[in-house]
Amino acid sequence: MSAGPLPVETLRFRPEDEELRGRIRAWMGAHDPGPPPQDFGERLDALVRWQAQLHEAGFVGLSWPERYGGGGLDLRAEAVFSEELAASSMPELINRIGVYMCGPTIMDFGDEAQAERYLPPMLDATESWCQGFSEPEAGSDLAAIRTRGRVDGDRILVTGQKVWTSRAHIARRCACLVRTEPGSERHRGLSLVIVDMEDPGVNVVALPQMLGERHFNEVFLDDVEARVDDVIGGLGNGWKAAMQMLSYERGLFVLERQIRLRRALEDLVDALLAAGTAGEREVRRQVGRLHADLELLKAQGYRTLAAQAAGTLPPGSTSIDKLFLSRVEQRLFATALELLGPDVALAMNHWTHDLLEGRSVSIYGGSTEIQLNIISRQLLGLGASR
Amino acid sequence: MSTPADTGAGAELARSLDESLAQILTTEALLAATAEDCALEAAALGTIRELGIDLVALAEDAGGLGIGVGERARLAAVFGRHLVPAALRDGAFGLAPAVAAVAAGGCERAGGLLERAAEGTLGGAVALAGDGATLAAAVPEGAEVLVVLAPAAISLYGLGEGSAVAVEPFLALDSGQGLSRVEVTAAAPFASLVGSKAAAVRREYELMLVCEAFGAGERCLETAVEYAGRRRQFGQEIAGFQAVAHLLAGAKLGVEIGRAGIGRYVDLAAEDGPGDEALDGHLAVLCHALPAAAREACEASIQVHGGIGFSWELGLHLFYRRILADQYLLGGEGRSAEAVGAGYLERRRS
Repeated sequence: MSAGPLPVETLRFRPEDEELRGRIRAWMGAHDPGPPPQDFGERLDALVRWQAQLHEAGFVGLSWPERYGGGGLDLRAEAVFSEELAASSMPELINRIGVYMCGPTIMDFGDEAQAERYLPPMLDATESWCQGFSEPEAGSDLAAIRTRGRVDGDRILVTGQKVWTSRAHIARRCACLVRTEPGSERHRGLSLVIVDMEDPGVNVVALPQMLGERHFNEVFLDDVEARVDDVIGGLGNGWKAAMQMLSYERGLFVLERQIRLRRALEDLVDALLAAGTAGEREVRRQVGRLHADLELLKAQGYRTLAAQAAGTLPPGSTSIDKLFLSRVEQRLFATALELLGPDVALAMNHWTHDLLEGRSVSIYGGSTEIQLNIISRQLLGLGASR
Repeated sequence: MSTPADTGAGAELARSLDESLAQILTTEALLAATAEDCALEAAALGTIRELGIDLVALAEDAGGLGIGVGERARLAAVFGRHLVPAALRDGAFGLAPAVAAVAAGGCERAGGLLERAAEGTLGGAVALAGDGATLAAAVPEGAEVLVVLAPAAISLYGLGEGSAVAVEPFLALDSGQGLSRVEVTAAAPFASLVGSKAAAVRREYELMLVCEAFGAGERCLETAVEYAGRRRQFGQEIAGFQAVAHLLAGAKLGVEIGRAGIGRYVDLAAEDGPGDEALDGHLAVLCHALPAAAREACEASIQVHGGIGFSWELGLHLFYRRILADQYLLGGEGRSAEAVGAGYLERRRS
């Protein structure tokens, strides 16, 4: 092992990117509808409408080719959009799993027919997507997948159970990792199949998370009919495609998340200034640590996107982004409660809400322990550890 | 900003320095200097200066190499990998550019010093102005000038016979560096420079301390990874144990986040827009986070090595001493966090 590269490139915006930023910001200023309603149905409608509006304005899928309805630009433009969206009152895109994960994976591994059929409706949220990866017996050990995909001519009949499936209750499509080769083990014999969530064999059951909110679900699949033509990357190549999809979860997503955390720090500091405690040494130190964390998270996000844009992203490197995001997010809300004190910490409010929600970051999309394994093996070249 | 573009000259120099320094700065030589608390042999110091290190932070019109900030960062990391003596580091990254900046303001005496700096024959010391009157600096034998770098001011003081600067050597944690406490309250600078050019010199010097710590920490991590893949216990390589692998992966996280932080600084410095305030803000973050990450990597390395890691002969303590020195020259974990926080709160308040 020798010294790594220095200096590494990070994302640098050109004048045309800043011009785009100005346009998006102006549009957001005129169209930001304010925080979405709390009622589930109303909220869903509002979020779908918001993404459709953003798409109509030309801002969703900026890095996608124009023939699929995208903007024909690059990842810098995508990063600009993510940053500006994160600064609005609205949450992330309702179909972010489609736009940022499934779509790019189809572009990488899928064929032209799949791209033409599935990509355009992702952008305006007429078809939302979810990813069917985890199972009751395949959590961190994702390769232990049991859901079967029985190939029958040009059909695949999918039977099994998925769990922790985010947004399955609003999704029209699912990128589902299934075992299509009977008797195969571990990473071999898996395929990434597009499943129609309206198939009568699909049963989605809510699995409320620790705040009682419905983010994820159990998905029961009983002889659900999919098409061999809808296997992303071809039969037996599911593991590779799934891993790529997970690495997309750690790119733009981290950048967007970082901006939302930055706003949380601003809120915290405003509260401390209002409370008159901002002059205390310990407060300055804690705020300094949080701000340093966020600056470095941004630097790492920009570094990852620059490497992604240049096609030089080393395998496993996005685990750094994911792992650091977990640490930063959890530390931020824990510190916030410490600095704001018992009055805030004893109540149910957005601070305590976000502290609880923050426990998910080190679990979803590959737990902290899995990320450490990836870093050990792929970045440090250490022997297999489990 | 008028930052020269990275030309590649620095990258080539970094490669050749890396090879040459490995030959000169052996663990044995460094251990001997540390044990005796004396500087390396004059011959070794001379050989290192002959590699051209005094030119790395000088612009071409000042007789230097005119290399960009990214390549200078890389060179500073190479200095850290090999634990280049603090006085040589300070000569290259503090003394020479400070003298050049003052000389550019029209000071004749500084002009003369600059010529000698570019020849590699000037001896001097650099101190960062802090809260108190007493400063710490590596003062080599025969030093004739002291540079004090305040946030936006450079002051040059004469050293040696007749100087009113009090220099008191002390037994330093990072021993063998000639570290001394210096006090300038009774002395008057013979030249000074105030303003953005002075601020740029201090910024650059702090960045190089950060990069030195980074290079030292990265080297410690490499050593540990190599050892973990070779050392066998319980019938297998210890790298196969998750407790060991995750400790190293955690250290790798800090190193990679640090690398991104340096990359971002270099990109900010190359942009026209953000200006000095953005650079100062980001540098404060680096001064806080990178020495801490380097320290974590070094501590993990010592732990993974077990008893041998704690031994004198392996020399991991040399890296530990240097990283701690860098961290505390930059204020320490808490004070540097406070600086970041104070800056952020001030911006938010306004």
